[in-house]
Amino acid sequence: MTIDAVDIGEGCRLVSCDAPPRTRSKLETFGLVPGERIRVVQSTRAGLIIEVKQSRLAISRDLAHCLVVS
Amino acid sequence: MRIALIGNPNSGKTTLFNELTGANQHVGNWPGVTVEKKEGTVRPAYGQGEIVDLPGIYSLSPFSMEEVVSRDYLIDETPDVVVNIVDATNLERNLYLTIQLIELNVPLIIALNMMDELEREGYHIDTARLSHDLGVPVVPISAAKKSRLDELVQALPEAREPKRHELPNPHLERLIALVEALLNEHLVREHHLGDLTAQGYPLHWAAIKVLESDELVLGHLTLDEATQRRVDDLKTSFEKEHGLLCTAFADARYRLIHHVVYHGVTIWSTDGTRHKHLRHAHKNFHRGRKHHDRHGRDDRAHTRDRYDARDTHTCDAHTRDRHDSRAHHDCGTCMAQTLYGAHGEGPAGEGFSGGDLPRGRLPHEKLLDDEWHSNDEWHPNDEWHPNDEGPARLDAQLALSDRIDRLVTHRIGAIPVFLVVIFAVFHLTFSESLFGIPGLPSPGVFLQSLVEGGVAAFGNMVSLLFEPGSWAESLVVGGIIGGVGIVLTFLPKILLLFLFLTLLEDCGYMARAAFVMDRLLKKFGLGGKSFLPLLMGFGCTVPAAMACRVLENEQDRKLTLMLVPFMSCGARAPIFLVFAAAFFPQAADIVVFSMYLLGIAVAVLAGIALRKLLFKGELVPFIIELPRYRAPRARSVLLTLWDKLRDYLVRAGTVIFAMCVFVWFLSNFGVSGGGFAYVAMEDSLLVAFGSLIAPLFAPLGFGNWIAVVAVLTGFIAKESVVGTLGVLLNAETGAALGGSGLSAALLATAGFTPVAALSFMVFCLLYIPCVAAFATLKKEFGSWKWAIGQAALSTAVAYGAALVVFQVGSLFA
Repeated sequence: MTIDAVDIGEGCRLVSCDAPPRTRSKLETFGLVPGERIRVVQSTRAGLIIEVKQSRLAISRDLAHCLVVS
Repeated sequence: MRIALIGNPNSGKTTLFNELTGANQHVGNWPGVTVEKKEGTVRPAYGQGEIVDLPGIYSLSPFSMEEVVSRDYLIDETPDVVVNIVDATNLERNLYLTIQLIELNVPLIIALNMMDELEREGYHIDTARLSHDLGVPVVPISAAKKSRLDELVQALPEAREPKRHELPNPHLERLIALVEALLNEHLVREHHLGDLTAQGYPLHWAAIKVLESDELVLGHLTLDEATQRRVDDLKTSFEKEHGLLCTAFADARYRLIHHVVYHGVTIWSTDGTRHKHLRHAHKNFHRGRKHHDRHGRDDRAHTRDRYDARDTHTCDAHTRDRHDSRAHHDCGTCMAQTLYGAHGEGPAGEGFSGGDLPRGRLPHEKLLDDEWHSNDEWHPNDEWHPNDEGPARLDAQLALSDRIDRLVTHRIGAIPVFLVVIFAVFHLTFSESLFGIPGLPSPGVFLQSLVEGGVAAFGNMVSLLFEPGSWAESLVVGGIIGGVGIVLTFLPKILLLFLFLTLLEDCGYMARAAFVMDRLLKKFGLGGKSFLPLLMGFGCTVPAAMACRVLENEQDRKLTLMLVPFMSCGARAPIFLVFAAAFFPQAADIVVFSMYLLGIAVAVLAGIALRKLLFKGELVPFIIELPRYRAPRARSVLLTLWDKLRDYLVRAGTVIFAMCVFVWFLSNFGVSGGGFAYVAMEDSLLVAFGSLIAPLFAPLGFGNWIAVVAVLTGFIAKESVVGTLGVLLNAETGAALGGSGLSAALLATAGFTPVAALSFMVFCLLYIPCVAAFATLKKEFGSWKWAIGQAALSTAVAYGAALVVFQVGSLFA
């Protein structure tokens, strides 16, 4: 499933990222590599707020569609 | 000594820079790009040196202007020492840049910022250990509290090029070594080796960059076809087996970081007892071991699993052994420390009740649990994850920030919250009657009236020095003090607007607002980060254009800069108010409001069109870091304001000054009596020019020289439109009416009909921004070409829109 299906407050693990290379690279900079634990703080129509490593990121919904998690 | 400051956004880099340099700063642009370059001299109190504040970046990839600029500076300018500011409260993410700096082999020193904040939250960073593991001197500081900065400065000469770290992925290491050899071969063959080292590229770093397909480095290297093919083959075969290279690099770097962090950070609660236990634990290392052994694991196996995670089965023996011995050597104290501190063994013993025990976080316990109770493959991130595994105090803080985040980004609640916040900002800045109390001006209006009074008094005083009616008096008092003075009177409102927005930015709200607005703006070819500048445009175009700096993508920033002037700024309101009151007394508010809406509509259309025609690049997907909620610091807010103030004053003293003199000259000199002389305004060049081009405006319904001259003087400041109309019409009719006393009848003498008035308002809404805005646009675009382009575009749009309004309106009138 993709990360936008994860409930608010729940954690998950990144399996893969299907974003274009540049975007993927930017996400990786924030520590979003396969296997990484992510917690979903908020999920709205605008997008998601996720917590990864010790930082909080806001990503748009289309980007959230690219993040496959388990 | 030349010092470069580098670090993540929000790491306190600017605070440190400001503190170290004081007022000895110079703000400019990096050559060729509109990325701000800040340089300064170290204050004598701290020692000597020149500091460059590199842009805030997360990594050294070549994906943004800021990253390229920083990297080029480090490689080309070879600073004597690179100070990497690391936010201790966000250690792992911040160290990602550090690892890349180590790869780049620059003389490095780490300033570990916000240590005080971290310790308040119950963490402790063993800086000696961190320094040992990273191979880089680490100095804990608090930039905001100015504590231990002298230690940092004293430690600067200790910076050395750090020993590079082997990445915890043997396949990757092997690949790097192979490519390094290939590059070496290629460079020796091409006799370029000297060049490469002269450019400061360490070969190892170049190999990594080649593997990361870094176009800039590849461009420098100009690999021959055979080498390139071999590199490509290596990459393909790696990726076939181990997944994408870039991901492998990020993963390996983060695992290396994790290893370092795991050793350097201990967690304990800040309450006295357990604090003591930790110290106790240091002394009683053996007990820690014993405890450990109870779980039936020895340090070796434990650490190997932890370190190698998914690669254990493929790890070559050599690497594994090395990791093992190192881990074995390191493990003892840290294990004891972490275990002990967290477990709280001692007087309270292991019989901690559930309430006392920090909720489910013990890095070790978690780890052991994972190992014992689950078959899941273990991953490093399970161990140390302060966000949900930190001491209780942090948990509470996080729960609060979760709640705030959920409120301010709520799918329904977000918009009202946002509107209230923004309304409050505008109300405090622009309202004539604060909280609806008549006669009580908002701080912005109050301060503006003070400045207006000051400028007027200054003008009166200066005029005493001159012979009344002389051209010199007219130049100094009317032209310069009048012109520059009007521009200065905006200053309080601009500063207040910035004050509020800086406060919102510093406390962390703005990043959330950008996120909320992203979806809406995407429809117009913009991103969430453009929202703030556009919104500020309703106040004043000048701070709005300056606020565009938050947009890191060049295209997005330029597009936003193009659109900001279409937002109807506060100075345009008097025009609408006068004309709407004169010609549409029944529906003045609707007319004025529709002007604002028209401005937005034009911006939307222009945004879509420009995105299609000029800025064809894909919209950058929205990723924004949401900084922690923090109370804004007075000092940094004041320094930001001082920055803006200085910026604005410099412009007022240069470009705006020159423009004012120019317009004054045009409006006071002309051909009279067969010669060129100082004349009354009616005979001036400006009026002559206005009369000349007046026919151009006939199709818009105001082809009268008075209206045209008013429009021309609007370039100094949009407020001048009304003022000029007043002056010229009064001169014409001889009536003693002030600027605000413009009636429909009076305006009719200048040829205004209701439809023409509407067309005039539309034109004034959209045409060329005022000189202050224009000068700001020039600075922010970084070129005259773009600023003139914006002015041309807006004037063309204004002409077209006014034409449509007048022609269509005339059909119905």
